[in-house]
Amino acid sequence: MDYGKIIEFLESFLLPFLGVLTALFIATALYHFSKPRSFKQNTLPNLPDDLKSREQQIIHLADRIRTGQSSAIIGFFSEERRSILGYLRNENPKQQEELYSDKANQLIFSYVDIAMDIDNASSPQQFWELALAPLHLKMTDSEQLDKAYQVCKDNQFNRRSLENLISLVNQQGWRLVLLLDKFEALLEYPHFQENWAFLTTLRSLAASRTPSPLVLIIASNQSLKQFHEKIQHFSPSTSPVLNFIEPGVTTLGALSEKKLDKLLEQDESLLSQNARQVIKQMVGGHPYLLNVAVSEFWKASPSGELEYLEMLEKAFYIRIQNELEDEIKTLSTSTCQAVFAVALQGELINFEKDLKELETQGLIVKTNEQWEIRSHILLKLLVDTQKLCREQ
Amino acid sequence: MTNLKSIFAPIEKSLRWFILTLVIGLSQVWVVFIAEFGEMSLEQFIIDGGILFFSIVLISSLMIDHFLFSEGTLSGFVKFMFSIVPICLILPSVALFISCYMAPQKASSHLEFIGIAQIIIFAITALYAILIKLDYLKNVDSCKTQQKQ
Repeated sequence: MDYGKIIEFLESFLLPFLGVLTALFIATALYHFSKPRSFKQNTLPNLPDDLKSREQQIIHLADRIRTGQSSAIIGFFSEERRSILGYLRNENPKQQEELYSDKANQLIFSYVDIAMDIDNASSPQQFWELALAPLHLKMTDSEQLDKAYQVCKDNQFNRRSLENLISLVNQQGWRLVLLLDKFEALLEYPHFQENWAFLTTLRSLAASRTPSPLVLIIASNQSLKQFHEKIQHFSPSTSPVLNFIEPGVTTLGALSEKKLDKLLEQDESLLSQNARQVIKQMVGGHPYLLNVAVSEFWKASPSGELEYLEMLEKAFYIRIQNELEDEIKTLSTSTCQAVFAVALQGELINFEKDLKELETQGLIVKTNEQWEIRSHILLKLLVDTQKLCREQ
Repeated sequence: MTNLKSIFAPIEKSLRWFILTLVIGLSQVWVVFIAEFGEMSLEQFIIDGGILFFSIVLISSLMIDHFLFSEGTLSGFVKFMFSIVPICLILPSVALFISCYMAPQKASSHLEFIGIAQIIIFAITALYAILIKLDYLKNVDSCKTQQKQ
């Protein structure tokens, strides 16, 4: 090969070519770095559309599980909380690896819906049997663990036997993730109402080791503070029993207008400005309501124009009415009364703490020193029904 | 003040990264330069193609690293330019390096061109390396800010 010819060939064009390339590259880089950073919306795998706006919260919860720390999901809509819990425990191996990296194979998820799976006759023993069922299924290969489980059963799942079992789980390198949905219902049941020992056992199992082999993920429409206030009389001098969860609390509040606009822009068929405005007012910043409203909108107005506004409002109201009623019924009596007081412009003096909680959950907002219900559809329901709060 | 700091901090970090890579990556040249101080000929340095070798390794590793492992915020024309620049640089660098290595006599007669080409290739490599690191650092920074929010 004639290398001299190659050099001559390169000499004929290389320097001007490199000059043009450099100029183009500098121009591209200047353009790129002058733009604000934008990220792919959906960085978590298989994230359903209705959870896209909660991605940061899900990443936070997954981080807590990965590092063996307990957390709580506080939000008004039980369906949204359940969706998040469902996503966290999805068995898809790729999804598990993305969420929990090297810890994915060590996690055993157990889901208990306190409102559905527990009833007035249920005892703490039945709770533990239910909660430990996925672990029990997995421990068939280990004689030691199986024996420890039997000891637990024989001792009515007392604290000592459970601690021994969890210690063995830790030695196996496993981690039990206990997802407790509708946790607010726990204190409704007679065997749990006055059961301080049950709560201290939960605390002891989940908080005595770091990282903990038992991770609690509590989903509720009441804050931990409200929960602690209800059980304060058990032991007034000690610190709140679930305070170790406080750093991991994730509140599913309302989204900003900008974020709502972004979510609406992602809708495959674009909605008109007018339609967007009406939908935003109806949902009051809640992504869960937004998804329902958008789907009802397309049913009511397939053309995408807002021709039948009343029809949409009616369809949305009928679709969501029972669900909203159920959610309101599960609120604590004082919080429920506070929502109605805001909706009906009643007296608010005694509801300071409840108003703060409702504001955090994005149900109400203070405008010109006046509390208002954010969602027009929720306001309509509250005005229409009026008597949904439970007796104290 | 904070704003200026947030702009210049990633630039400073990526510059520091490049200088350290340069110091360590071309250590053989620095050793020869110190050991043979005053006796090392510029012609030999150019014909040896150490700079070309360093540029090829650095730019190709950065390109592969960026496109295989980073989440990336590049799209469209920007992505095209960030892919085409290393390729446009690697091909003539390889041709030049082989020519110098296989036919040093012939290369000596084009010394001025080869010297200038090496300087320009090295400069573009430095620019590419600093910018791609800057992009990475800015992404990390934005992710942290987003998580805080």
